[in-house]
Amino acid sequence: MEKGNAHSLKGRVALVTGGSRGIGKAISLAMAEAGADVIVNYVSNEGAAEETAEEIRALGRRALTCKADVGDADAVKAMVGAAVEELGKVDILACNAGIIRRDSHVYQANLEEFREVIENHVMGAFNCVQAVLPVMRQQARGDIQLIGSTNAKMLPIGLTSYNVAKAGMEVMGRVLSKEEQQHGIRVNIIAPTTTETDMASGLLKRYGFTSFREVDPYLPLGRIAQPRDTGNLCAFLASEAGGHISGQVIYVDASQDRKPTQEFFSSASQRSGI
Amino acid sequence: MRLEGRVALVTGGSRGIGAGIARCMAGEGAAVVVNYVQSEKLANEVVEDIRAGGGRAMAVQADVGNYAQVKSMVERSIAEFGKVDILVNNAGIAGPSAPMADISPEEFEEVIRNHLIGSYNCTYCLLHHMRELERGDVIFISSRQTDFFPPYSSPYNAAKAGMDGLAKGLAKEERYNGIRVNVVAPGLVPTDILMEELRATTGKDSVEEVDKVMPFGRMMRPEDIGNLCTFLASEQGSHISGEVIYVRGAVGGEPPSFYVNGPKPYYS
Repeated sequence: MEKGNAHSLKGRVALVTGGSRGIGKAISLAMAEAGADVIVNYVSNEGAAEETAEEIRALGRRALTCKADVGDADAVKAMVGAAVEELGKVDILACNAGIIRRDSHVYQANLEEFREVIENHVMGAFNCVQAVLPVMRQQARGDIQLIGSTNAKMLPIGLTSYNVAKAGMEVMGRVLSKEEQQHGIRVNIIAPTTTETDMASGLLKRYGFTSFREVDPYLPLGRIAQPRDTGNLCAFLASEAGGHISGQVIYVDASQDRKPTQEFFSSASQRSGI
Repeated sequence: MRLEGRVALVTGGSRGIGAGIARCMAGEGAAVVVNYVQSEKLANEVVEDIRAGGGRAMAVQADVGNYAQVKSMVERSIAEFGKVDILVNNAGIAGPSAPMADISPEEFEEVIRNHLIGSYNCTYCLLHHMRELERGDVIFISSRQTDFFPPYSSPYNAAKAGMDGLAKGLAKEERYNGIRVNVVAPGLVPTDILMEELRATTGKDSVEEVDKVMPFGRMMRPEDIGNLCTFLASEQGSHISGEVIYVRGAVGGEPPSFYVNGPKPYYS
């Protein structure tokens, strides 16, 4: 292991699903900064994907934007085909695309919404992994990173579909690490807590806050998780320096496992009199 | 340089994984206190190497199981480098390999004292100091054994499980004080003892020969542990706390022969 090179991703090609915004964008940029070329997958926000791709190109890397709903196996196959044609291979896959539906108590959950969340996360990750594996097995090294969530261990009420979906991804990743280890493929689950993204801004408003900075003092280590916290870990794990870490579930949550974030927000809003 | 301006105390830093961590952290700019108990010569070698690379380091003898010695080591470290804001609880002994029925109270206590009491001693001694600093990191070096608890290893299993428990609770206690606490649990690295075992079981003579049959192209190295510890203590890893992370390559991380004809069939 040569010093200085151990963190480099030069010569690697990363496919990041939901890579245009939030945590996905941070993963894309962290990979690009470490030297990888990146395929930025998106489903609706083409403008954001193009913007992220431009930022990657500004770092001197190649970038490709690719529209595909990860729940659609054919669309995913076409995306991987296009990626290989354009950038030669895919040897890092970050399954980050995700959606959230609140109030999915089993008793009253809307069947279609519940199915939609499972399809998007679990089947979405499955589709991407299956489409990428034939290419990845040909490479000297492969990395599959499933973006989980602290919800899979905190199991907050009201987000059952999301909890089940993230737990499903976690288990799939842990088994996959055993299935693919002989092909040199590392599989890890990176599971962030509530992170400062569009997805979390609804939660912020729900408890009467106008800025994430108001919440910071109530959270462990004094700040809400940043997209970059997850992106940095993804880039590290894909590098030579993280090359012997596989089959792990790593929570990026500053040990925030006493209460789900919702409760932190709610108690914070009480303490601050909002 | 990811650890510029930081000061790390690595217990058991003269050999094996501890030396890997010390060198790695020094390579990223940290000043390093290399603790040892017997291997003065090896500790000095690590220190010399770090200094030769332009880094700052010193070797300090202390038995981590002895609080008075730990206290004096911590005082010397702070006197020399001004602070200690990274503690790596790595010092450890293998302990007897036998059924619990055949392990004496003295043997059992020795292993617990070294790993668990030793980690407590060092952490306790530094905690109030770390709370005054902008950031603190405590990393416990545990073991892959806490994932599957093999038989014939009860003192080691108990000691490492105890360290995991200590770390996880501590992470929650200190999370409003800027102190990160994590557990790094290594798989097998090619130490002298392991290589002897490998020669006996596989007939393979060198690490390089074994590397060829490993799923990820090589056996683990102390640097693999050092790299993760460094990442966790750096700005990049600053929101990770309370985690147990196994570093063991392909699952289990053992050479394939260990599965079929190793001396301890319960290793998985």
